[in-house]
Amino acid sequence: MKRHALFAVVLALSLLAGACSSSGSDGIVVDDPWGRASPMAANNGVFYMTIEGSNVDDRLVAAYASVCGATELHQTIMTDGVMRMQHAETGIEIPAGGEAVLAPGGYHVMCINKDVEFKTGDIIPVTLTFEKAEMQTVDAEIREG
Amino acid sequence: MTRTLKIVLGALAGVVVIGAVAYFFVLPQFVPYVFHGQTIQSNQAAPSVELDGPNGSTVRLTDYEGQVVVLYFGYTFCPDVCPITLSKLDRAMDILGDKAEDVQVIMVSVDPLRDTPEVLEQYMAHFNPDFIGVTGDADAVDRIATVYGVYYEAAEGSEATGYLVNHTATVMIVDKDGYLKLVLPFEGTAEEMAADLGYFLR
Repeated sequence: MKRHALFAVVLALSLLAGACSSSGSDGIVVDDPWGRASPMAANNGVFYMTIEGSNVDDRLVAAYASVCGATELHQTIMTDGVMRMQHAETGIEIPAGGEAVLAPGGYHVMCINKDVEFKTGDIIPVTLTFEKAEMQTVDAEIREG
Repeated sequence: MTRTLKIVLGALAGVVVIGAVAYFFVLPQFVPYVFHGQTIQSNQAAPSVELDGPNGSTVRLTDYEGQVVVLYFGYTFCPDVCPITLSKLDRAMDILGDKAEDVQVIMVSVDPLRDTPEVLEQYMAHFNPDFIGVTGDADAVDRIATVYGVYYEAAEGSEATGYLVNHTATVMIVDKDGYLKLVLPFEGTAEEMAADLGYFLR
C-alpha cells in the first residue's frame, strides 16, 4: 500500500516536472541558468545552471551565446590547492533521471572573448545543444557571485 | 519546601550561573583562536621584488608594512575560480567594515602576457575599488610565486582560449611585518576569511 502511495507521489511529481519543463516533450529541464557579472576588462564570462535529465542518458555537447566570441564547456578541477580548467571536449553527462550541475568551482560554460560587459540584471540567451534532446535556448540572468 | 531544600536549590542555581559565565565569557579568552586555513611559520619576509601596479606605479610587497596583505595569485582570463575568490574577498571586506582599511588585497597575475596593468586595474575595480592587481616580467612573478610556495604553469588551451594557466588557488594572509602567516583554501567562506583577517588586525 505504502509503495503504491510512494509511486503515486513520484508519478505526480514527474508529471509536475514535465509540466514545468520549458522544452516540452524532450524532458530535459534547465533550472536557474545564470552568469556572473563581469567587467569589459575580463576577456571571458561564465554561465552556470542545473540540467535535469530526461528518461534517457544524454549529454550537453555545446553552448552558444551571441555575445561570446566562442563558447566552451569547462570543468574546474582542484588538486592539492592547484586550480586547473579542463576543456570538457566530450560534453557534460546528464544521466537519465539525474542531473548535471554547472556551478561555481565545477562544470561551467566558458564564454570566451565576450563583447559586452555582463551587468547584474542583464539577461543573456544561451542556446544549449544536447546529444539526444532537442536544442533549447535559456535566459541566463547576470548576477554577482 | 523545606528551608534546607531551598538553600540547596539556591546554591545549585548559583553554581550554574557562575559556570555559565565562566564557560561563555572567561574560558574563551584562554582558548587559542582556531584558524580556517593552514598556519605558516615563515622565516622569509615579503620580498622587495618590483612589480607593475595601477597607474604606472611600482609596487613592492615591502611597501605594505603595517598593513595586513591578502595575496592571491590569479589571472583575468580565468572565468570561474578567480572571480569567485575576489567576490568572497570583497564580502570579507564588507564584514570587516572600517577595519578593512588596514587590509590590502593584491592579486599577482600569473598571466603577465595578457594581464597588462591597465587590464588588471579595471578588472580589480569591478570587485572592489581598493583591490589592486600587479604584474611584471616572468622573472619577477616567478620570484614572488617561489617565496609564497605558489605553483603556476601555462597549459595549452583550444583555438579559442590559446592557453590557460593552472595555478595555486589559495588565499594568503601576510601579517603587518610582511610574513606569510596563513594559507586559506579556495573553499573557505567570506565569513571565515573575515574572521581570520580580524585576528591579524587585532
